[in-house]
Amino acid sequence: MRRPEWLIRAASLLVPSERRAEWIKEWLAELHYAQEHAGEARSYAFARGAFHDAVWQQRDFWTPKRARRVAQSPGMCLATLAALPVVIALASGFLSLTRLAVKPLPYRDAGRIVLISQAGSMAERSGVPSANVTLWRDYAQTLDGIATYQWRPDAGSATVSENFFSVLAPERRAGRGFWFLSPKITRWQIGRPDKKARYGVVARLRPEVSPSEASAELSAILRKNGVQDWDSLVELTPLASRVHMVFWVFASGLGLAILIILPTLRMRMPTWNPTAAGFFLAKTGLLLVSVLLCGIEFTGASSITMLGGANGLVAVSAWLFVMGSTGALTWSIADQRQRCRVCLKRLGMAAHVGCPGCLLLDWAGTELVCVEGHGMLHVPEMAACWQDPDKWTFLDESWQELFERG
Amino acid sequence: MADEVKLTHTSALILQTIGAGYRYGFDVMEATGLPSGTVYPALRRLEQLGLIHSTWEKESKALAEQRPARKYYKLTAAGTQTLSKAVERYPLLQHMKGASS
Repeated sequence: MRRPEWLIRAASLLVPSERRAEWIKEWLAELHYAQEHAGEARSYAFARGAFHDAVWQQRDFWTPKRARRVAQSPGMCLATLAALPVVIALASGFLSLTRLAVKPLPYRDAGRIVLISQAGSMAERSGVPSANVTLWRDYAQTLDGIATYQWRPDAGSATVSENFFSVLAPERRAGRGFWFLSPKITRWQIGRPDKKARYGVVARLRPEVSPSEASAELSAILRKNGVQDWDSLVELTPLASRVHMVFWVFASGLGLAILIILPTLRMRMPTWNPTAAGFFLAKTGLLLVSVLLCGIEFTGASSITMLGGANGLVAVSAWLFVMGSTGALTWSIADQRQRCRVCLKRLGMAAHVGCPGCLLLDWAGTELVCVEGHGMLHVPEMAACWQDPDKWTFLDESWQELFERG
Repeated sequence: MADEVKLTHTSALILQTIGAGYRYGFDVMEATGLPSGTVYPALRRLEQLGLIHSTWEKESKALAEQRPARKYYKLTAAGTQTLSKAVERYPLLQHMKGASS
């Protein structure tokens, strides 16, 4: 396709869809004469004028009624939901934390770096006694190096042992900034370890040593030096899996949300057809992506999980993911119920029917109608075992004249 | 309604050009020297006001000449009336020459 034609087709996207085909036909025909009589150079200027004409086409097109119809359409719903991740990206500095969580870690042979803890990755961790670190440094054969750190989240600073950077071996490639625990830590101080204090511990495994082999050796060293059985339990977690744990936390939150929704799903969901199912999945997917991005960007979940649950914040972010996912699914299902089974537009013109006090003998509830005249939804006032849940009635062609178009 | 319409000089010029026998958008552009971004929206407005009327050329005729079909514009009765009033208002419009074909 030549460029002037491409310009006209791009401009046509601004033209209301009902007028678009004829509009393109006229402009392409005129472009033919412009190219024939005025040459290729002037045809660019000619095609640029299509944008003025396309904008003009909208002037008399947008009536309040038409705007309302567009607002009710499934396309508008998806466009609005698609804008959410864009807004989150803009507000968060183009998903800086998400990019960190997804990209490879900025350390040489990052797969060999592990965090060492003594109380399990999900438990609140008070750190490893300094004495244990000294024992491992002196006797461990499976480690290439072991370093300690202490992080003060409020101050944005961390105190690390002298060999910390040599253990991590940060890559110095352009565009890959160093970060550990959280990108918010900007000050790194070298400090001499206090023998009575507890520290976060990071180690580099020797090549071809697995975390479980190293864990067994570190536990054995502790037991050999008189550390009690329970205290000698050591867990090694690859740093990369700590960073990616945020996605597992989200997946678990989503799973729990589905379990919460599942019992009432059959009662709540309208009948399926492939278009409705696709719309539901797209809508729900966009909402869940927004929940995930919000969780990572605005709760600092990626750096929190990297710490292995410091201050119990993993539970907080997991709770946010559960609540967010439950809210997203609940809204998505409720929205689907309130849409036409044919055109998926939001139902309107709600009318209350019947007497709520006469539920035993009569039906009472709300009736909603598709603005295009495809059907009517009957929503009972109260869910009762002797009544059907939402009932959809298709309206045939004979009803069409009641639904004014325009 | 149409006799109450007051046209801008540009709209009157385009109306006069169509009255002079220039029948499609690019033709009007060439005759007036106005850019496409002015001529086409003006044509829409004039048509909306009922001063001009558009028809599509027959596809078979355009196909025989191996070119796309054109959309032709011509003055309506209301357009002719409005044009004569516009010419009184903008006397220079009288100097517009008719189309050769």
